[in-house]
Amino acid sequence: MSARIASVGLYLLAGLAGMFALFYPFITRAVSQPGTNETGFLQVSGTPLLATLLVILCLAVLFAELQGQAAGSKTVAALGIMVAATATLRFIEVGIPGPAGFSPIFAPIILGGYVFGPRFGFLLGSMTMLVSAIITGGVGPWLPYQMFTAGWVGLTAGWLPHLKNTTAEIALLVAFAFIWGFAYGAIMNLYSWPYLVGDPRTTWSPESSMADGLRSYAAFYVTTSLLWDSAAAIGNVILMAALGLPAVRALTRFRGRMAFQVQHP
Amino acid sequence: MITIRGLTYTYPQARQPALESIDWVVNDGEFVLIAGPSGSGKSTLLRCLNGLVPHFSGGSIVGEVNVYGVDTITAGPRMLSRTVGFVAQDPEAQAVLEVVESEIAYSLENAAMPPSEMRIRVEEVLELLNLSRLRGRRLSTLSGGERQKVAIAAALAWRPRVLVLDEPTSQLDPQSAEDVLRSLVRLNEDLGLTVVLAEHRLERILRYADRMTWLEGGRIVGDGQVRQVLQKIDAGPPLIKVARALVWTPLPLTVKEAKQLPSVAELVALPPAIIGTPTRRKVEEDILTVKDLRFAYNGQPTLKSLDLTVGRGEAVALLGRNGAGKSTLLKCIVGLLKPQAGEIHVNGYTTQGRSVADICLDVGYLPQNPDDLLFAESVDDEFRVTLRNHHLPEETGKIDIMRRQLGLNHMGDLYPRDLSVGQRQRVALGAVTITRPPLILLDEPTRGLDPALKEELVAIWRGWLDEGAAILLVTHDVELAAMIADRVVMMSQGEIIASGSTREILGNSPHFAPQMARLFPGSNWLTAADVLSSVKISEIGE
Amino acid sequence: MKPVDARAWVMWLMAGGLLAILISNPLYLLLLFLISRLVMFACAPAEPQRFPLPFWRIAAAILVFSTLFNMLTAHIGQTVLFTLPTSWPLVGGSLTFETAVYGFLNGLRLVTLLSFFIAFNTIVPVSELAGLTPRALHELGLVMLISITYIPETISQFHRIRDAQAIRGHQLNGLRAWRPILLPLLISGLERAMNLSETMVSRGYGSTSQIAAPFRARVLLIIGLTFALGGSLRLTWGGADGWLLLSAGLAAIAWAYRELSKDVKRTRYKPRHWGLSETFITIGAIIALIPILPLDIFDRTAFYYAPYPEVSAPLFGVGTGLVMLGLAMPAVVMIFTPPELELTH
Repeated sequence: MSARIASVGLYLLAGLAGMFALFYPFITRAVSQPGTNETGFLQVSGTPLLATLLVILCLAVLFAELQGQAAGSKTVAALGIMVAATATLRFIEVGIPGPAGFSPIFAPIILGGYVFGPRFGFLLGSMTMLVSAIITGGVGPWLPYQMFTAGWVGLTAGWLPHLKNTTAEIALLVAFAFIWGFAYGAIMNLYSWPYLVGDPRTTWSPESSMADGLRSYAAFYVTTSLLWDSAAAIGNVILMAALGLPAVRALTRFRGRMAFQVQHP
Repeated sequence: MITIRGLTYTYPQARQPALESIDWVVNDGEFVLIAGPSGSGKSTLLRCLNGLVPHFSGGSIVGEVNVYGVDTITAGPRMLSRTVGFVAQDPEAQAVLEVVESEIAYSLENAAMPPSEMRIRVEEVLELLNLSRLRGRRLSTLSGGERQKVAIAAALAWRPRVLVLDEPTSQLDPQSAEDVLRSLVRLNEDLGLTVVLAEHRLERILRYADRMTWLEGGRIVGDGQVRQVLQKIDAGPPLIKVARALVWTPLPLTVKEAKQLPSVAELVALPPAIIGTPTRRKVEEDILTVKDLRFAYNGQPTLKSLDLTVGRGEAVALLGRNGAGKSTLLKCIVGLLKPQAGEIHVNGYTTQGRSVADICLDVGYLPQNPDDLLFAESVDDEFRVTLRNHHLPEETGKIDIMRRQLGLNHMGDLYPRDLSVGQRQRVALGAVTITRPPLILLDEPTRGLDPALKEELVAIWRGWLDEGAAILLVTHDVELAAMIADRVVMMSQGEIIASGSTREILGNSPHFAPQMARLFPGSNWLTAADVLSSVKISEIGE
Repeated sequence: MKPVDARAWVMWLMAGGLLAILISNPLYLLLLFLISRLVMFACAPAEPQRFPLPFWRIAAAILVFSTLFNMLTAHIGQTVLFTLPTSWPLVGGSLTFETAVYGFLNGLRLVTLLSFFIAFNTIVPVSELAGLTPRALHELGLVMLISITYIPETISQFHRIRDAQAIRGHQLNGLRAWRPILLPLLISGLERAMNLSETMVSRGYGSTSQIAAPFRARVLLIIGLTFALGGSLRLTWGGADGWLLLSAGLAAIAWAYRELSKDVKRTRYKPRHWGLSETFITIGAIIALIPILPLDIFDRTAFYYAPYPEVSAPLFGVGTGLVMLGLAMPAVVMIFTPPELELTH
């Protein structure tokens, strides 16, 4: 029982810390005062450093918790190969037309999480980002955020209810994919925005506030990503509609093979 | 020593047991061959030896399995990994790590072996299997045979007492298969390692096996000396079939042994049989013409000025080593590769400037791995997808006929991936030929299939040939070519080096000759059926 | 030649990245940028990268965007270049030279950071990167290794499936066309995974039962994350002592990892080799970080530069600049390690 509480506590904390890290740029805008802390210690609060560190810690904690839960050769092998397949989709030249900004990786991550559960989903999402970054030489300061966010895509997919009615089921999956198409872009922007916009104190004025930050962020979002994210969301919807049900059925067949009972009559 | 007593095992959700009342013993240092038709329980029996059954597969089990003093049903695969080395079928699904050396060391790392000792062990198995020169290579750059040898090396790293192999050569070409089997024989003879091998390429392994166990329907039907077991059963390579039918004693296991038999010498002395080239197929018109075809891959010419024709109702077999350009030719024909020069006409129309989909209305191309095709929910859906792709009406009548021809009569609603290997191969075949194309291309269509399944496929193709289809078959299997082809074309390094009737080419090539042609050179006999029918006719004549 | 231990490169990357994030003085940034490029060209392996990023294009895009965005959204500074009608939302107001400079410098900071990462990606081979997984996360490390092993096969399988579907008339027209390709890829992949896990089990890979992290480690993880979050909050609201809390959190998480790695009993076939090169690179990285420590040796005010209210010449401390050259240590090490000598290892 205490183990379960510890486990739930860990997820909650990691979620909280992650949220704080993501909304950090707004918060600093809201609370920072001009002229403080300039000469004392390091001037960190305006930089994305603290937030990045927090995201890395969240990942470290979640990985430590999840890997124990997801041990076993079948899970490890299935994860390894699904990560390979999904990561490959990220950089392969496919020749299948799709809107710019669309990436086919989210449908497999969502489906993996939906069928094999939140833990598998989280690991599938985050490891896919990690492996594709390593293979393509795309390791960068954005990687922890990508891993964390894609992990949440898979994790939350694992929380979706399994509906009996197939129409309802596919509608749910499609809607979910649509929402994450935007959410993923928005979150990744939260990461890059402070880098590109810089220290809020330099633009500080007495009326500077959280709302000000939001306004600037909105401008940033509209100029950099709205178009891309819409394309991503629409692409997700089409792909999920085409792939969803048969993939769920195929993956469910494997779920049965991964869990079994030995009988000694 | 391995002892199995009263073993009955049922897979989860299966109605019938996969193994039933098995009593079986393997002695130290023996080389045991397990054979039997597909689905007879060979793999299951092997997996009992290291505890994968039931610990990995689930299901219910009764009986006792004891491997060198360890009860596998209670101990489980982890405990047994040091006693039993296990090698599975697919070389591509057995690698955990990227590089040869680290792959071999993987199981030792798992057990926290000190690095110094690990190095010795790795060195030892690299040497044993002649892999030293490949040690630093990435597995993805190796051939199937090399990968399979790496898998064997990895299984041997613990210096196990028994090596268990589940059809290790079924996915390999003959040269690689031979190489892998030879290393097994060497391990058995030089180290006294106990080898338990399931295999359907009997002709190459019979002479080395000390014992043979024949399974059918989950039961042991024959067990003992190879010759004794072969007498009891119905299957086997052409040599065994002929020897059994003509009651040669002792039963010869190799062509060499057979040649020393007096009764064979008598047959060899007979004048060449007059076997007319099959008359049922009349070459009325060319379905496929390839003229001066050239293709280069990365500046490396893989097809050099190639000419080829296949006529209506004709089956042509394309033979040659790996890398001779056979698959490249097939891909050029269907338009997956664009040749640099030359002309291809299918059914009278050029393929130039047409899409793959358009060309494939006239060509049914079965790729090497049938699983690449299958994704639909049912066998019938699989056929419908192709019709829909081509914007053709999805007539149920058409689908019914196809299913009947393929022997998949009551399987229309089943999930293709749940079917057996042979059935999946036939579903894939149906999926590419449901449009009734006049030309059928087959790329290694019998790889991994046992002789019975092979014959089923040959029967299907014969039916299509009679209906007027043209077949171009790429294969390593000369016995298959001997069974179905009217003509044989041999390729090497992108060129055709020989072309002619099957008898002419296969009868005179030492490397590509089928067993009967090697036993009776210059006799015009290629298959067991040829020999048996001629002998019977001559007996009646006397 | 034996590659330098990836852990040394991580130290180098962290030092370089940290400086690039903390510093806004363009002169220092330029120095850091040049150092990272120098190290990259000195230490890059002979074989080219599989998927090279178009670095200069990305850098140019970042600089242009950052300059324009800041110019259009921040309306402070004294040298007015244009004025847009104030009725325009957000962009309305005066566009100043200072905001453009600020935006450009901010972009430069990001480009410098990126340059360090790109050097790291180019220099460190994939196999070494995969070996960086902490011992406690051994299973996830294995997941990563398996997926790296299977990526080449997945790519060729992808092409095979695409060809196989094309043969039966499948046409690549739009996103629905993914279905006949993705489904077999997923299913065959999982089938392969079942075979692979069978192989792993037959070769003595762990148990098939599920083991959760030990309770003590979990408690440490909870404490660690709580402290880290608390510390961050405290720092955000201006309390310098947040650092202490944050460090305590880090320590607790590190401790949990230590606990977890105790259960992992494995050895390495090729033990990692920490030699002189690695030590020098690490020392260089640490030296470069000295100026940011709360000591009074270096003038830290020179790190910060803002072109407000009016553009002025940035300061440059020669001592600080020299110390930052510690990051160029890998290039120096490379010059002094003759390849022949390394081969005898």
